[in-house]
Amino acid sequence: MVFFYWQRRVMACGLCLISVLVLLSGPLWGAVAWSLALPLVASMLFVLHFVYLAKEPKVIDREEADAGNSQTAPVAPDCLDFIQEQISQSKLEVSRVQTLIQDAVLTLVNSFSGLSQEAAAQLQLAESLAKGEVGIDSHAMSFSTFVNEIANAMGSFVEKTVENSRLAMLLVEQMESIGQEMQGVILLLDEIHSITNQTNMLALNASIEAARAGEAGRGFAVVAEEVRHLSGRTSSFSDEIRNLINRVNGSVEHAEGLINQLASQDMMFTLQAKQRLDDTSSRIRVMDDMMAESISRLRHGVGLLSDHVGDAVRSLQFQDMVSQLIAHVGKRLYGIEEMMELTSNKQQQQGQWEVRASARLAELQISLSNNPVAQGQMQSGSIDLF
Amino acid sequence: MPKKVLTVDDSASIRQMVTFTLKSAGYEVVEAVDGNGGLARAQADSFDLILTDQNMPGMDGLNLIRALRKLPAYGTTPILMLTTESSDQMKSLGRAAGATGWLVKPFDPQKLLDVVKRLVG
Repeated sequence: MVFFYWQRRVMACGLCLISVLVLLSGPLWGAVAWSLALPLVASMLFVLHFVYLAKEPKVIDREEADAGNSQTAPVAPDCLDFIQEQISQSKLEVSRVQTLIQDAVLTLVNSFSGLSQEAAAQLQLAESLAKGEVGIDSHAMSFSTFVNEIANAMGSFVEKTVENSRLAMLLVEQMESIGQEMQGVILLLDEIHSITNQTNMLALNASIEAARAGEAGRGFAVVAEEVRHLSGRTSSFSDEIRNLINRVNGSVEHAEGLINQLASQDMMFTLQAKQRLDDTSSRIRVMDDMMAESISRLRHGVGLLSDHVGDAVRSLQFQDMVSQLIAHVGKRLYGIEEMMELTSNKQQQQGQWEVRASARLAELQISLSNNPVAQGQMQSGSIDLF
Repeated sequence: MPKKVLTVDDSASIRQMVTFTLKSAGYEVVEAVDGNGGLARAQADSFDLILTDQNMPGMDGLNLIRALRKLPAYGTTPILMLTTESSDQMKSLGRAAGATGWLVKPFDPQKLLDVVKRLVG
């Protein structure tokens, strides 16, 4: 009877101690474990503790017990069954808690892994876009390279156009020179016209003098008439040439105007296009700078995200630590259950039960003395390279 | 050719975290759930580095290291212990068994990567 008294006393104290230890280890277990595992395990242990105390025999004195005056009352068999049933249920529920936490942590790790990988992929994509590496073949080029090539081509085009304009201006000068030469020809034609008039006047005077000479001057009159006729034809040719030269002069002046207009139009268009291209290049450079700045910030953000994921991965290892702690608590429960079985009435009716119980008790004390998780916080563990 | 790493741990979440950490850095990772499974995988394949937990059902980490060190293929292969055990006594046992290093959980992913890179490149 004395043994039963101390058995229950030890059991009650053990359960109370375990429940207090479990509660004190709360900060290590993290929020999930706190919300799921601790209340369950702690409350179970407290229930068992009170069950033991409630069934504890009245005050017993060792000496009185030794003297055979014990007043203890045996624990009712249904109470022991209840306790064993509760311990069995506790083991099942602790197992369920471990499964729940593990499932949640696996999902979280998957989620964080995916988040990190997606962020890295987005950063890579953004950098590829910035470098212009996103193309369907090896001929793909960046937008900035494309604009630079267009600007170079446009620069060559502008140089050629300026050269053409210079030649056009030379052409205009040549046209002006031709016009001036034409004016010289017209002056010469005026001189011819004057000579023709004088020739005509001389021929008229000669005809008059030939008529006054009578028959002797008839031949001279014919010659004079022929000269006057030649003078008229010369005057007519001179007028035709003047008209032609005037028309040519007009055409040259028109061509000169057109060439002038063409040269000035080409330059204006080309210079405007070059200006627009320069403006576009400037804007693209600004966009490139903004993109580089954005990518730099994105890279920084991804780095921070990676750090946070690293922290999350480290913190989520609480599941493994808590799992080992729960398993260790489970071992303690198994030990209690085993000791209850070993000290039951049924066992006591068999021989050598105290020896078996003592031997097993020593084994349990050794195996339960080593807690596999010594850490009290979730900071990164030590690293030793041998 | 990526370096091959074998991670042995009875915790699925730890295996997942180790795999994620090392795969992100370009390593090929193979998982085993206990010491016996790890030994079988190591014998069936070739690995540049092995990471193992200590407390596992069946064969524990120390016995796995001892068994691996007896294999000619793993005489000098880096083997790291990744465990919640942090006592000097356990570390001494690990060193005597042939462990290359002892990492205490929780591990920091970047620090784990640094150690792995230092050992296998």
